[in-house]
Amino acid sequence: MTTVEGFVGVRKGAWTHEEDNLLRKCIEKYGEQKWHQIPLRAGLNRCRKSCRLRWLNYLKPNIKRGEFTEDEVDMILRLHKLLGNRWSLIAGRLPGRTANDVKNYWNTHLRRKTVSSKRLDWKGMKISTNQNTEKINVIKPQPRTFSKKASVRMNAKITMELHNKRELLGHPNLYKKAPPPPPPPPSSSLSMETPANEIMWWERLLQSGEFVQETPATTSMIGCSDGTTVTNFWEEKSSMFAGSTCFEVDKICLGKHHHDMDFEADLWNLLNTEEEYAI
Amino acid sequence: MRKCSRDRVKLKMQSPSEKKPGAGVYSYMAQWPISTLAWSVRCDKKSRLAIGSFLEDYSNKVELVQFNPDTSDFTTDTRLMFDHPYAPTNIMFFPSEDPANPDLIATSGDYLRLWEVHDDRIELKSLLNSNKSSEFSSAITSFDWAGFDTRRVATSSVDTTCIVWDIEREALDTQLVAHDKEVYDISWGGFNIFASVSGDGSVRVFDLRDKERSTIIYENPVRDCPLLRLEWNKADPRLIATVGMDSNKVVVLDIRYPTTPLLDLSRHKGSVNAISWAPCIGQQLCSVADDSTALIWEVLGADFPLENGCNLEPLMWYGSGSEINQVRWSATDLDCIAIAFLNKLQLLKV
Repeated sequence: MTTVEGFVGVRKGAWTHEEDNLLRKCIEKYGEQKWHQIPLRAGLNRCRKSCRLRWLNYLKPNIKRGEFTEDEVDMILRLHKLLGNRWSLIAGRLPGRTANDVKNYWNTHLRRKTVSSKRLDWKGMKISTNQNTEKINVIKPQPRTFSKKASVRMNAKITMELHNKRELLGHPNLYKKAPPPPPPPPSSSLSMETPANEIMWWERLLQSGEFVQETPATTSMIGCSDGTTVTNFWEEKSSMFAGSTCFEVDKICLGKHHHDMDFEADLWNLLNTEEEYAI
Repeated sequence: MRKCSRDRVKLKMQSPSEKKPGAGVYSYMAQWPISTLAWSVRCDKKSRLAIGSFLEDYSNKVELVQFNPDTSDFTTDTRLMFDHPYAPTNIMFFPSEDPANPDLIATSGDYLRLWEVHDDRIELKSLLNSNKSSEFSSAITSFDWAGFDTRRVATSSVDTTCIVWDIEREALDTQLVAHDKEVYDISWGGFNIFASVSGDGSVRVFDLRDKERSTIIYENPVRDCPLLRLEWNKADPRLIATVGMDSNKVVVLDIRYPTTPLLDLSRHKGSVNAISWAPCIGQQLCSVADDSTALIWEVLGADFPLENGCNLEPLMWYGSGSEINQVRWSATDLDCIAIAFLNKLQLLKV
């Protein structure tokens, strides 16, 4: 005998009326959550998956039985064209119909209707479609995010210092008009590489004097004059790891000289390497 | 040819001294509700717009409308109207002023389609489908055509992916699983760089030179609330504007200060439906909402960063008769903004 979820020899096969009633009462009492606790609470010798599917596909009170109406069939056809075999999304737009019912109806009644031998556009005309048969790899980039603490600290400091600067100088506006991005280098293909001598706009974006007016030496310095370290500047989110991996960017010092107001960090460099940066 | 009368209304502004003598509103009544619109960029076709219908039928329409600034009239040609499967989610003209380039329109819906405009007709040039194995393609929510590299169109889709197309080869160039949920909008920020927003509530930036990583630069503080609109300021690429679902706020981000908004523009009294940056200058932003108003904001005129950005007042505002669902700032005439509500297209001369 094997023990599964605390039961000896979990029951399989058709559900009885008694089992259905036990499950109904349990969900009425405890609600549709914590499925791992439901079999125990209901006194059922069934696994959690079986209980969940029985409820969602058969016992839920708002489930619609009977033939699909013309409107429902029309909706299934339209949504399938847009969403493909994403049955739960389609069922979500058909009140009272389960994903299982929609899938079964599609497979038994509608699938053959939609198969066509030639690629035609929606009015039956032949059109140019992308017939390029190269294998395209779908890439899933790992999303990275900034640590909220570090970002808030940095923003608060910059806000405070800019505020001080404005008070001292009486500047209502510290911005200059931004130049438009330069045109890309001419190339014959969609190359992702940037020529070595090409300084991209985001690499020039924050260079001194380009966006921010220079100010006299009397004004206070932006950032951490004491050279404090802002660690955990950004985090890498990854589904492959249980926790998020943190990378430290050491000695991020906000401000370089007392006599100017430089923003020399490049966002993309800042994110792509773990070297020292002066903002 | 059909001519349309205009109604001329003064723009309501905050301060009477700011009112310009030429400011006014010019209206065109379409035969169907308007879902999306686009300005032509070509220097020989100035003041030309494309408008897309919002009909619950499978068959929808896209129509070209020409505005004549001298007579203040709109003219249309029934031959320059075409059927479109489903309501188009976005429309764009070929993003180049050079008349030597082909006169193309891109539309999105069930697929990305390219249409060629001739003097007397509009023809479907190509249909781009990312799914080689079947006719099925997930719905495309939006796209952006790169003005700096006109071969590149980036699309966003409900299947959580973003695709960069090479329209010269009519081939898929890069496909990225961009978000955890449906991707609702996409915008180029520069060569190889684009950003997208999604049902997962995040703004993510992608660099095509490093496809293995993306960067979340903002997350909606309202939990489980999608971000629906995104526009990267092409004239000042530090700035990105985004809008959440059912939100009266336009969030302006500065990419140098990730996670924290530069400004929260929250003077609308209803859900914001669309946003558009002023081209070339890049200091002004127009937002339209369910409160029937179009607000123009002077984003860089404000003290930066605003300690209470939500208190920023709009530079000027316009009240329409109904919920405004679309806005586009003219690429060629910086004083002209197009808005759409119900069946009406309006040009605001600001």
